[in-house]
Amino acid sequence: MKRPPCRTIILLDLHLPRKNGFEVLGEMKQDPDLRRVPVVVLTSADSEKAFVAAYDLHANCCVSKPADQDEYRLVVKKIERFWLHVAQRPR
Amino acid sequence: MHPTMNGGKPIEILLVEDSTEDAELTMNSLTDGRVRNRIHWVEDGEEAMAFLHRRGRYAGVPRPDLILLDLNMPRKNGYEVLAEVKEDQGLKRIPVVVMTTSNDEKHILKAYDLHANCYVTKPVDMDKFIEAVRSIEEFWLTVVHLPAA
Repeated sequence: MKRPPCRTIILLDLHLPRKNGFEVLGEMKQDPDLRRVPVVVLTSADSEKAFVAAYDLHANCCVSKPADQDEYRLVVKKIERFWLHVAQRPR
Repeated sequence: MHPTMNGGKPIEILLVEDSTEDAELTMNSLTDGRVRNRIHWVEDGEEAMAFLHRRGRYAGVPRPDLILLDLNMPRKNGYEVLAEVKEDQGLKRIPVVVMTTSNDEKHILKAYDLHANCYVTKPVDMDKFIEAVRSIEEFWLTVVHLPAA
């Protein structure tokens, strides 16, 4: 896997076909070039076990996907605001 | 655990910071914020690890829900704390927000490589410092789902 070309963050759902989010997260965080890329887990999974498992795999943060579309948009805006304008992201 | 479903319990924050001025500014900014929280302040990395492992005088302390971590500290620096926390099976899930003076790319990379959850450079200007702490508070205490102990 090649390192992304610019300061990147990943928004990652956990429930994915073929390879699920946990597997993607696990592979990324074990890869010496990719592990530094911030991964924001944004998921409709609502079990505490799923969130804990994601953090244990070194997800940078986990956010619950709101069911309501307007709230969803607001949450994504807040993620964007924090990760693009407050936090430093690695190159 | 989500802040709004936390049964009204305060969010426990461990602040690891050797500058009294920065610590007080951080604590005042968080105390004025929207979400009920309780801040535990330690001044170096050795005290941080004693707190996290509930050793000695920290025997009855709560497990933090979030760690705010400076990098430049005496005795044990922030990188060492970060590495120890993220290698410990019981502690690694606790989000660590690095909040430090450097904006050097080398330091940022090193922190993320050690699995810092995020890295924020402390603004020099006081108003911007307060704004940064409030942004951290807003995101990590009201948007993020913090892991249960």
